[in-house]
Parts: sequence; structure tokens; C-alpha cells
Amino acid sequence: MVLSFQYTTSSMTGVPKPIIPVILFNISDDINDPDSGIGMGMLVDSGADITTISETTAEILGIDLTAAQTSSTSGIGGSNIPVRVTEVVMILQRGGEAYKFITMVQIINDVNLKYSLLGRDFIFSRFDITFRERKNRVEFLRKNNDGIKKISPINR
Amino acid sequence: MAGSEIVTPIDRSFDCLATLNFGPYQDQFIAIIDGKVVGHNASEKDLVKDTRDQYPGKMPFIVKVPNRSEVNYI
Repeated sequence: MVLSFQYTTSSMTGVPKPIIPVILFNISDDINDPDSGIGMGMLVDSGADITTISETTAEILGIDLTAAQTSSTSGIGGSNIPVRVTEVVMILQRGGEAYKFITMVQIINDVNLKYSLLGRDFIFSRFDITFRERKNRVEFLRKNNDGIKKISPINR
Repeated sequence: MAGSEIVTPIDRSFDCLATLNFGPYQDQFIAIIDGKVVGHNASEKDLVKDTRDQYPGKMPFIVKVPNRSEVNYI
């Protein structure tokens, strides 16, 4: 089944963007714990090598930033920015279909991140991702089960 | 979404973005639960804490609302 998401067109900018709902958990969380996890609007970014979240989002998830590996990244501006790299549990779900997997994320200072980014690492090799620009829609079709578990959707 | 599919709270929260007036929330984060905006704050951390306090057991869907000047993103 294809997970299909309409682009979000903010009335602030009028520009449709492929922002989709993603559920994130700390890797040590029980996903059935009612106080764990958050849903987040993430920009699907085929130009981003790796999924990226802010330090604040990482703190909300209870990620110990001091224990995360250090690295650096660069964007369109070209300058290197220090980041932390760790793993999170991610769930993609839509219309009763839900897929759970563990993926690397880089954690970046909030001021350097306009949107949380769903980058290519892991997810783009497990799903065929189609941007239907004329329809303002992005679709995810699972093609590879490696590291992905089909689960019951989160329903809270 | 097709009519026969299961619709979960986060589906409803995401779908409500299609008709939401973002105007009052410029440069803030909004928290949506089951298709309704239940809070907004410039601080993502405070917003999630307040939402969890007020709606225990519910998973907030958090969206950053851009500034009016942020038209194109690269």
C-alpha cells in the first residue's frame, strides 16, 4: 500500500511543501508507553544525506546529547556546523499502515534548522518515494523490508 | 485518504493542516491532537510539556509554522 501525503501549504507563505507526519521515539522508549514519543511534521528532503532534528526535539525525546557521537555537516551555505549523531525509532504511518524502524539522525542547533528533515539515509533505500509535484503530493511505497517492521498503527 | 482506510489521530492531525489558518501562529510551533490545534508556543519544549500535561496519554503532533517572509526554502 502506498502511504500518500498531501503537501502542506502554509497560509503564511503560500508555498506547498512535502511535509509529512513522522512519529519519533527515543531508542530506549517503549512505544506503548502513553507518555513517550512525539509526532512531528518533517520536510522530505532528497537533498539531505541524513535525517536531521533540532537539539530541542532531541531533548524532548530524552536523548542524551553528551553521549551522542560528534560530527559536522554542511548545507547550502557551505560552512561546517557541528552536529551530534545518534539513533532514534521512527514510525511512518498512514491509513492504517504503519512501519517501524531504527534510523540515524543528526542533531543540530535549533537556529540552523528551519524544518526537521527526512533525509535519504535508510529511508530512501527502503521506500520508493514519488514527488507528484503537479498534484502537490508525496508517496511512499515500501520496497525493501531490511530493518523495517510492520506494526499496528499508533492510535493515541 | 480513501474512505475505507483506518484513520488514526495523527492522520487527522496531519489532514487538518490542509485547511488550517496558520496566520495566528507565525514563527511558533503548534501542537495538534486528533485534528485540533490545542496549543502554540515559540518554545517547542514548553509546548510539548504543556500539551502532555493537559492531554495525558495523547501524542502531540508538532509543526513549525514559518515566518511570512520565508517563502522559498533551499
